[in-house]
Formats: sequence, C-alpha cells, structure tokens
Amino acid sequence: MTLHIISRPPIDDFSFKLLYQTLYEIGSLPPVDCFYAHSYHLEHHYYQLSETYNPETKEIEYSELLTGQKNRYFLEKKLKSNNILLAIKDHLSGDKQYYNDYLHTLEYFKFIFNKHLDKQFFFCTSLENIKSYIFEKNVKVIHMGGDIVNQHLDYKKLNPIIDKNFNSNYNFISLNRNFRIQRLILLSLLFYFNLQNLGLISCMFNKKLKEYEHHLADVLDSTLREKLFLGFDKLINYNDFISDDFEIYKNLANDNASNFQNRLKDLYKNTFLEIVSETTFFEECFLITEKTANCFLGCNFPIILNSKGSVNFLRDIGFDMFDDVINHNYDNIDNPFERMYYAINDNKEILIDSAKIKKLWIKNIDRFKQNVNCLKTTMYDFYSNRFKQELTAAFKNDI
Amino acid sequence: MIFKNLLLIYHLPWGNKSTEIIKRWFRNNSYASSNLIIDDNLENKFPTLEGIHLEYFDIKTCTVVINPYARGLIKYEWAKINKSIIHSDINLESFEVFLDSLFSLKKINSNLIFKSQTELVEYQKNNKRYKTTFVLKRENLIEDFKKVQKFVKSHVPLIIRPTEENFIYQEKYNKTCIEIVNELYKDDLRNFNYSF
Repeated sequence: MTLHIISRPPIDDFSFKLLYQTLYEIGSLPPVDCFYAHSYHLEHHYYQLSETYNPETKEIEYSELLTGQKNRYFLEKKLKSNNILLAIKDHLSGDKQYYNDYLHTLEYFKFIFNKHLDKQFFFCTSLENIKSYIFEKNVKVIHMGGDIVNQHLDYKKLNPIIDKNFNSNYNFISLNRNFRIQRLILLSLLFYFNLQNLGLISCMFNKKLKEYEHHLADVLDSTLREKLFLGFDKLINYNDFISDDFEIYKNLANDNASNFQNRLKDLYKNTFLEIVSETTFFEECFLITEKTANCFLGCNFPIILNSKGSVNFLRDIGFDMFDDVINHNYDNIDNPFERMYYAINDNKEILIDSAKIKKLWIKNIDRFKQNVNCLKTTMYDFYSNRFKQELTAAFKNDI
Repeated sequence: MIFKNLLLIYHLPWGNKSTEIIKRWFRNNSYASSNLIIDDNLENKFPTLEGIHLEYFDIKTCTVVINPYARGLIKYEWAKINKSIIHSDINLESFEVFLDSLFSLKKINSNLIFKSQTELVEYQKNNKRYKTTFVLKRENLIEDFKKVQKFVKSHVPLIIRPTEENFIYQEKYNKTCIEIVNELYKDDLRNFNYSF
C-alpha cells in the first residue's frame, strides 16, 4: 500500500493520524493507492512560492514551484491500483459558493471518478451529507470529520469561558471575517432587526460592502430582499464593528486556538449567545469548523448558520443545542435565505432580552460545561469510531 | 510495513539543526515530499523512536546524528542560555564541570539531556530490536542522504548553506573533556564510528 501526501492543511493533528492508524489496523489488503490532500491545494488558482538557495550567487531565490495543476497531474499519474483512497480535507466548494451551485473542487474529483470507471474509489471527506452530490457507482463516501478536529491537541488545553461579565451591555456575538454571501445576508438581517447595538459584531469586509451589495439583489423572495436592503442601508453606514485583523495568526497559519486565547476570549466573556456563521451555508453538504468549536468553548448559546441539518448533526455527536432556549426550527428549512431569516426572526426575543439571556445562562451553566467535555472528548470519539467503521466496512465489501 | 513509501524525519535535540537541511530539501521537492510525514506536535515533544512508533506503527524513519564531541559542546552552549529549565544539579561552571555533571547524573536521570543518540534512535521491546531506518551522519550528510534520495526516487541535490557547515568543537576540548565524552557517549562513538 502507498500513501501519497500531496499536502496537508495547517495544524492537521487529527485526521491524518486517524487515517494512518485505521489503515494500519485494517492491515494487509490488496493494493490500494492512497492520497491525502488539502482541497485548496488542488484548486486551479493555487500556487506556492518555493525557496531555493543558489550556491553561486549565495542568495535565496523564490520561484513558483507548486500549483494546483501540478498537484492534479501528480495525483492522476499515481492512480495505478484498482482501488484508490482519496482523503481530501476541507470543503470542496472552491472559491465560489452560492445557492444551487455545484461544488467546484468536487467537480474535479467527479471527473476522475468518471474517467476511471474500472477503479473503486474510497472518498474520505471532511464534509457531511455529501452523498447527494455523488452519484457515481464506483465511489464509496467515508466521513473523516470537519475542520473542527484540526487543532485538537491545542483546543483540549483551552479553558472554557465560564467567568462571564454580567455587567456587559452585549447579548450576543457575530464574527464575520472573510467575505461570504451568507455573512452579508446575516449582517443585513441583524441591522434590519435593529440588533446591532446588542451584539459584538465584526465585519472585516466592511470597506468593500458596496462592492458586494449586488448579491442581495439575487434573493428571489421580494419581501425578504426588501428587508435585506433596508438592513444593508444601515449596515453600510455603521462604524462600530469590533476591530478585526487580517493578521490574527501571528506565528502559525490557522492557529485558531491561540486566536481564541489571545483575542476571542474577552469577546466571549462579554456575550451569552453566538450567531455562528460557518464556512458552508448554501451547499447541501456542510463543514463543521473551529467557528462552531469556539461557540461551545466560549460557552454561548448557539445559533448555527450552516447548511440544512447541521444542528441536528451536532446533536448526533452529543452536543446539547439548548432546544428549550433556542428555536432551531430553521435547521430544517431547505431554502437558505429563509433558513437565515428564521434563525434570527425566531430567536429575536432572546437576542434582545438581556436580563432573560443572562438568567438562562446562569441556570444552564452545567450544560455549557458538558458541551465543553463533548468538544474535548466525545466529539473525537464520534469522528474516530465512525471513520473506522465506515472505512473498514467499505474495504470489506468492495475490495 | 504497511506503507512502503512513507518516511518520517525526526530531529535529535542538540543536533546542529541537521534535520532542517533535509526538511528544506523535501519542502522544495514536491514529488519527494509526498512521501514525507510531518507531525509538528510529535516533533515538539522531541520523541524517541519508541515514541514515534506509538503513534505511527512501523513507519520508516530518518534522523541525523552528529559527532558526540560536537553534541556535548552544543549541549553546554544551549544549557548556558537555558539555565532556568535544565536539571538543577547540572553544573555550568565550565565545560569540563558540565560534562562531569552530565556523567554523574546520567545513571539516575532519564531526562533527554542525559541521553546518547543511540538511546534515541533505537529501542528494544518484546525481545525485538527496533532501529531507525536511515541514520545519517551530519558530517557526511550529502553522501549519506543519497540513501534517502534513492528511497524517495528523487535525486535533486541536497544543498548545505555556508552558515550550516559542521560545528567546530576541537579547540574547546582538553584531555579530561575528551575522556568524559569517551565514556559518556561510548555507545555513539562505537555505533556511529565517531572519533575526536
């Protein structure tokens, strides 16, 4: 068996080891060519500068070495056995995500599946619910857990935020770093409902809001579209966003644990609920990332803005979603715009009522602690056991 | 051995940054790097071969050893800078005294600073001896590295920069220091065929 490591995401300290150990436990098999990659490194536009020392000039030179195209070429060249395992970390949407769109990076893999109909593929993915995109009969999907597992050793060391500031003027937190359409819609809605002064809200793309405004015109429901534009008019003139920084990862790429400890901790101390705006939203499949982890570690009531079914999935893992406090009916709504609207609309009362949310927080402190325990232990057991079961069964039945 | 192509490079502390040279070669050689396991968390723990096998069973491994006389001096220079974190009984009064304290404390202490390179690159378990697959000598790195290049099927030359030349240690040694190292690291001197 060969395992080619095309690339790995930063601080990938769980998934790779899980794959290695599971394959080792399964033991000797007929030949399987295994590949491990960060999806980003297989995208068309990806490139990385390489550092080379020139002994003649005695200088370090930079040249473009790695590209998505080269990685794709490498992968295709090494597809030799009849059984191929592809372990692809992160989402597969590419840099474009929208309602009813296809998954741009997954399209590449579908091309490979269809080109090699004589081969059996074992497709290990960070995404949940991806089966609705893959119809190829020569593909078995195996789930290896979202990016939430990426920095598990560091996250396990972090302390939960249970020393809340009950004199805080803020009820909730909404963090919006990189631009995504769902974040623009969320922010417009928060302003439409006049919630902006009750929460700590970041919007790192606030200087480019005018550029992105046209996305709101794509919302088909005219009533909702009107509301969003009303909210957007307030949003664009707002200057009190909490400060955000492009350079949050000082020492290490995607060092989310340090970012939580150094920067987010104080924001969580002053809030009691989080509107989590995840990486995926419009897709039918979804990725659970550190954004969701931070909400549990920050001990805030969760409103999770992700694709349909993600709240239910978190329940399946073992998280308490505080169904008696938060109305999660939005999680069952297919239409993403409606899902977003009802996530906020159905929870307006708790978002607004400062006394109530603080009282409920105190009442439920033990449940927050249990969620932290789930984040640090149960969740990894869940992902690990499921991956082992799915991969073992797939190999048993199809090799 | 389930993964015939994979290799994990691990660093032996006080090794004159030797593995960095190799890792840089892999970083700039994308085809070869597809065989390389990088595990920063494991690396930060300065694992022994046994520690690596606990997490990556049966993995092929590669590391770089250096002349024990050079390593002794590198340890001393390091200890002077890191006084607060080293064993309190280690005496830093002079290089000779330092080596002597390492020698007298070694038998009762399992801390990494007391270990020879041999103790880190192999171990015995259940009557079986496990050894690092590729043990390269720093002083002969370009030549020794050819074994790894053959394994990963890439013959791009390994480049050592002028700032990465071998560590000069001879002038800091007197007769007593040489004798202590001869005893302290006799397994390294024998196993890796080193002399002063």
